[in-house]
This record gives sequence, structure tokens and C-alpha cells, in this order.
Amino acid sequence: MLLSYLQQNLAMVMQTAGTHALLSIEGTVLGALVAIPFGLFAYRRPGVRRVAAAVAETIQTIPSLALLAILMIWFGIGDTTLVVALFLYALMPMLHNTVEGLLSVEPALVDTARALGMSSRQAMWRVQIPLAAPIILTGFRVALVTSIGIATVGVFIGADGLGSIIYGGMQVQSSSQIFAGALPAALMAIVFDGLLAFLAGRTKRRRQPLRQPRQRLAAIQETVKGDGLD
Amino acid sequence: MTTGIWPDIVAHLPLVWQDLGQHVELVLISVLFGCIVAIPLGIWLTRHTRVAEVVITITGLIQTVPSLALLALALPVLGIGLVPSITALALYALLPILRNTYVGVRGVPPETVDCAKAMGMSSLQALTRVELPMAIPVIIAGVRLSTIYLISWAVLAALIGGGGLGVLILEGLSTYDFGLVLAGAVPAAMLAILAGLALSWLQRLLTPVGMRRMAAGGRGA
Repeated sequence: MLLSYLQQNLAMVMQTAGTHALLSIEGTVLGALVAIPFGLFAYRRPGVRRVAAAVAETIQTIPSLALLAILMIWFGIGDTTLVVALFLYALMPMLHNTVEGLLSVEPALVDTARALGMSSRQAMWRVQIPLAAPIILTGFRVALVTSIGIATVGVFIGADGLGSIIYGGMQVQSSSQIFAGALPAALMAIVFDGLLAFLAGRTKRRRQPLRQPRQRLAAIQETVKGDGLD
Repeated sequence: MTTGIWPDIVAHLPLVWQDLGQHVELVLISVLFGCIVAIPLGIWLTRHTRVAEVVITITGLIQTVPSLALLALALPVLGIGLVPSITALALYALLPILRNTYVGVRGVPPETVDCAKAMGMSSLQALTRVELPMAIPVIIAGVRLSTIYLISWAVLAALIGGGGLGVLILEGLSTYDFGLVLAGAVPAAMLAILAGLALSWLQRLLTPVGMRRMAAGGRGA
């Protein structure tokens, strides 16, 4: 039976899934903590932006098992190496979307905010960031879903998570054990994806004061999607 | 390890060479298959938008599933070996190409197509002379994404008997032989980076001249 392993080991699988989620979130949040502030700094500096984007994209290109294996030499066997890799992989989507989000804000709106007496810092916090929030959140969503996927590969460098159940199942050729690891991993990715898409939608609806920027945003989000990032 | 990366790789060079060849073969066959199936299918979908919405949603969902989970699930169904590996990789290669072909062709402004038809082009001519050339940058972006994903996936394909550079990495990891690990990991990383650069270059090359300035000025098509 496909579900037999899951039924017999439900508590263990749930606990492993919890660890898996925590590790994925940890790596992604660390990435966000670096990439979002850096995006705020870089978005008006085309030179910095281009170099940073190239570096982040190059990291993104490296196969997950290869990067994990290389990092393991410095960070050793275990969860630390995995979290460092997840952090590195989170940089590109977060940086890209933070910059794109800020650039998508109608300059006239920022000028209006300034004309109303806001300092540039206030305009950033009250106008630009709220308007960019849906796109920034989309970056977080892409990063987190990628992270959940890569965390399964962590088993090969001795990290915890659902990969250990999947790989264990492959070694003993037990479909039911593979399924017990793969199903929660897949569900977790799909649920987080849906949840964050919903949240991004919420921030979009509440924060849009004008008609025209909303349409522009929708068009920009289409192109972001067109990049195939999600 | 302190002796550096290169001696380790040089020591394993014959093996690296063989596995690199296998790796490239796996990826090339899968991506070619992906292009042959996904590009026509993507174009067909732009003419059948109701089906398209369902298909694009499903491909999005499949892409969300972790790679190791999908490969592991394919194991009981497809078995072990080269053919199952290529099958799994090829199926996965379809998704980004299909999605980008659809988005790319849909992204061509309808008035441009109307213009082409008003000038006397048939639907087929409008497709091959206007829509496809304009969609090419987005389609190649899909091929690029597919290739990069597949180079990563092909590393894991070693688990289901597909060979490739993953063999060196996994063998090195299980015997704590860091030289072997690097001999697999560094070429895999370089292969992915080079393939990404090459396809970005191809994307620029194939972008119609009239669209290049647009693409350089901003996000472009």
C-alpha cells in the first residue's frame, strides 16, 4: 500500500516535515534580510544593480547538489550548510523582485508624496514600499518554494528534512516510504505557494490608490511571470 | 583540501571527462525533446485559451513539486537506468518551455498581428513572420531556464542510474572523498553557468533587430 509507511510513521513524518519547513523558512528569511535592504540601496544605482544581479543569477544557476557539496567543505556536514545554500539561492529572486517592485512605482506618486511634505525616507516607507509590496512578496514566495525543493536535496550533505525519508525509501526501494517523504514535501511547496500568492494579492488590493498604477503593476507582474521565475 | 581545488579535479580528469560527456548528453537530449514537443504545443495553446489556462496551471503546480520528490516518485513507475532518467528529465524540460512559448506568443500585441493580416498575410504567415520572431526572446528564456534546471536535475539523475556528474558527487559524499566531490561539483557548476551565458547570448542574437533597443531600454518583451 502506498500510504502504509505514512500511516505507521505519521508522528515521525510530521516532525520531519516541521524541521523541513523551519530550515526552508530560515534560509529564505535570512536571504530576505540581506536582499531587501540591498535592493532598497541598489535600485537607483544601475551599476550596483547590474553587478549584484549578475552575481545573484550566477549563484542561482549552480546545480543544488553541486553547491551543497562545495559549501560542505567549509560549513561541514549538517543543517548549517543547507541553510547557507538556501540563503544564497534566496538572494536572486528577492533582490530581483525588490528592485523591480520599486522601479514599478509611478515616479509621479513619489513626487506627489514629496510635494505633500514627506521626506524621501517617508516617501519610501509610506508610498514606495507599500506599492512594491506585492512584487516583493512574490519574490519571497518564489524563494521559499525553491527553498523547500532544495531542502530535500540536503539529505546528501547530512541535513535533516524530508529528503532523508525520500532517500531512505529509494535505498530500500520502498514506494510507500518514498511517497511518505515526497507527498508532504510537494504539499508543503504547493500550500506555501498558494498562501503567499494570496497574501501578495491582499497587499495589492489594499494599497492601490490610483487606477493607472494598478494596471501598470499588473502588466509588470505579467512580465515578471514571463521570466518563468515562479 | 587546503591544496586547492584544481589538483583534485586534475587527478580525476578522465572520469570527469566521461561523466561530463554523459551529463551533457542527458541534458541535450531532454531539452531537444522538450523543444520539439513544447513549442508547437505552446503555440497550439495560444489558439485554445480555455484549455491553456488549465494546462498552464497544472504545469505551474508540477514545477512547484521538489525535484528530488518527483525523481523519487518516478523511480517506481519508470524504473532505473538511462532511459527512465531521460524520460523524467524530458518531461520536466517541457514545463518552462511550454509556459514561456505560451506567454511569449500571447504577449505579441494583437494590433501587430492585425496589421500583418491587413497587409495580406495568412494566419500561418503572421505566425511565422510576426508572432514567432517577436516571441523568440521569451521562448529562448524558457529554453534557458529548462537547460539550467536540467543540468541541476541531471546531477540527481545519478540516483536513478542516469550517470553524469552526480555519480562523482554522490560517490565522493558517501566515501568522504572531498576531491571526488569537487571533481563532480565544480564542472557541474561551470557547465550550468556556461550554458546560461551561452543561451543568454543566443537570446540576444535571435531577438529581432527592431526589438533590441526596446529590450535594452527596459524589461522589453
